[in-house]
Amino acid sequence: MLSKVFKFVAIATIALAPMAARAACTPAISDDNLIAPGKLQLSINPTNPPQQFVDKDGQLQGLNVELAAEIGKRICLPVELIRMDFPAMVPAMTAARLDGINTGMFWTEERSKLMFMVPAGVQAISVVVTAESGTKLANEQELIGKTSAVEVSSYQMNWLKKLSDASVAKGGGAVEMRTFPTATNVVSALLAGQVENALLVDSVARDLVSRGRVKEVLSGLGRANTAMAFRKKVVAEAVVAALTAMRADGTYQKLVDKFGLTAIPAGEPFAIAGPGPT
Amino acid sequence: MTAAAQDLEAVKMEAVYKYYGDFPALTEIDLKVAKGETVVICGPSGSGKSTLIRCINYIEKHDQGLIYVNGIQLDNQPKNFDAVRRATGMVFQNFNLFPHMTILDNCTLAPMTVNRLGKDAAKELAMHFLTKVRIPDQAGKFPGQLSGGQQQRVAIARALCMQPKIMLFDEPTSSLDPEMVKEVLETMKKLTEEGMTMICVTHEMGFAREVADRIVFMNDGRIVEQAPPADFFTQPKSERARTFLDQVIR
Amino acid sequence: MSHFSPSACVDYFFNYFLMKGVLVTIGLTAAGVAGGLVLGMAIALMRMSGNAVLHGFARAYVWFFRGTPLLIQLVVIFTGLPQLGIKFDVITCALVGLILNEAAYLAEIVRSGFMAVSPGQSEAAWALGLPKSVTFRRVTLPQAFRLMIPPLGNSVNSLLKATSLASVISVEEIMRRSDMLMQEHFQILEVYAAATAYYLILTSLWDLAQRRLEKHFGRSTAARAPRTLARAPVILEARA
Repeated sequence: MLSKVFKFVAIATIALAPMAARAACTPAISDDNLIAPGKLQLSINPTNPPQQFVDKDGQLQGLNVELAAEIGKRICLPVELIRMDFPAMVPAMTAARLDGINTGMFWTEERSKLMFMVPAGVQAISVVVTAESGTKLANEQELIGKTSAVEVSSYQMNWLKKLSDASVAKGGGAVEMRTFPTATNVVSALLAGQVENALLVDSVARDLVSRGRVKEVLSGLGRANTAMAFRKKVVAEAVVAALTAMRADGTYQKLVDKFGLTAIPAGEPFAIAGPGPT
Repeated sequence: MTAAAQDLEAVKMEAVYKYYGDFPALTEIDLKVAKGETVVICGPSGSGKSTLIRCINYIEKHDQGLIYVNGIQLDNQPKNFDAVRRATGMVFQNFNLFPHMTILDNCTLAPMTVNRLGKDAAKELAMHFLTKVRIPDQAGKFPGQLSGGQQQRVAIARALCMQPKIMLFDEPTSSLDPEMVKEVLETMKKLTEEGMTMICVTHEMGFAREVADRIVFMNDGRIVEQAPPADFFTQPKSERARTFLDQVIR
Repeated sequence: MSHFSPSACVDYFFNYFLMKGVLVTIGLTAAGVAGGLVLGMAIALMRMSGNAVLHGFARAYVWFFRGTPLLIQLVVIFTGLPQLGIKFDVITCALVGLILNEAAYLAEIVRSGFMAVSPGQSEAAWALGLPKSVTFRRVTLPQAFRLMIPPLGNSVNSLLKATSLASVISVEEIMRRSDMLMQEHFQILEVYAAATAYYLILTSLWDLAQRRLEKHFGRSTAARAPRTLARAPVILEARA
């Protein structure tokens, strides 16, 4: 299995903050807290525009990409973003192949016990259908009995599974759930007519809507924080400090607005949320 | 051709030609074999002996000329060549027994599928011919468990189970160890004595001299001469036959 | 990170959800082999036929399906063909992909099996007056099949593992269901150890079946001492 996981790891060696490395500053994280000395290695799955995606030239783009670069500057370490499919990320980090995950992952209690999670944005789930479809849904209960595509092991998958299980427990029908390794696979299954609807992170959904590919029929479902996750507490703390500084000088809000995403409310200070690994 | 003449002839070949690409394997073959006759075809290797005998049951197709077997003309009509194949039995140099079947199944397959014989009747028939070739006790074994001589005798019994009018032997002893040649030749000799029409391609000149009614000598795809064995072995007409005999009979 | 928990691993092994995934893997493999064998046989016969069109088609077929990854074939069948108005449900897509792909490999195995049967076998059958159909069914096919078993066995083994690729188009077989179980408690090694155990059990069972098949179809060529050995003790007793 692991060999399969790492086969999918397309290592995109993109030093995002070469200037930081050259600058006369002291790294906020010592080498013994890093997988490889002198750089912070974070995983990313660039199939979720506008959070993270690859442009026509193969360059990584998106909020999380720019956020990582900005954090790199402030902690005085080059950040290397490593591309891999989402299901492989947590295993890769627990196997000490990554310093952290920077892919707009939802915060969940279960996850917060496995790694040090720092909420950095707010996201919800949107339900989309093809642009030509006439489907209208009044609420999430109308997903019952339909075929939905979701990313495997994602927040959306678990949210949908809970919805389906609750309906079954009450004697109702279930959701016909189809799971795919990436959001791209999810969308292509929807466009091919293999499923009736797809559940996407709202920012991804809005991007596709703006490109005229899909229609949003439900939004704001299962609203929750998205977080960056780290293997070491000191790394997470350094990132918290950087984010706090970014909010103070307005950089954070500017980035979030640039990509049309939702910021963590100003009243909530950046912090490690949850107990972290024991 | 009259019906009477056809009745007398088991095989009749008229001006038969066969080519492998541009290479002439058989050239202007005229051959008649009477019913009950035993003909031995001999000649150096590559002279077309095997090709000739394989044309008789349509395992090879001739390109020109006419071939009649038991009065049936061999053309490309399945009805005709099927009838010819049922009327002829063939024994091959490499036995060609079916290795995945028992000796008994080897013998009963064709009678059961082609002649629609019942299982018991086919078995009875097979045991009759296996007894005739003196190996009824091997019926339950597989070909691989038998010696070469035994396998070739099974092959003869298998062919006889279709009760053919003509038996074709294509170098039946060439793959055998010397000590096994005799048992196969004995079996063949017995068949001749029973009046079976036989055409044998063989290098066993002793057998030819003793058993054949006629020797057909071939060279370069042509029949060079035909004669009763007494004449052929003592006074061959062609220079080529003389050289051949000098080589095979030392 | 917690240490490896053998009891969790056992729990995952007997997890009903995962077991159903195992059944899907078995079903995909069995249908893939059966369908692949039928189609592969047809392709092999086309390739061996004298007809230039059929021969050309068979060669192109094998060239195409052996020359492209199964992963692409599956994704194209699932999400590409609907663009042309050809749409199957997900299980059919997986089966079509696996069968089309497997047939290309099996066609070559079938063909080499038949080529390895001596032409003398067909000649002997024809000489006995057996029709072509009987010659094929009773004489050449059984012999070719025996020669096909070892490479066929390898191909089935590969196919069994290749079914995991169907997870990409959302088929919930062993691999996908392991992924789904894994993210619940992130007991990574425990879940995948259970999945690995299932794959090993399945490949080992197939190994066993393959050996049985080889023995069954190879019985005619096996050296047959048993009969004489069985008699030997009787003789010894008589001597004693």
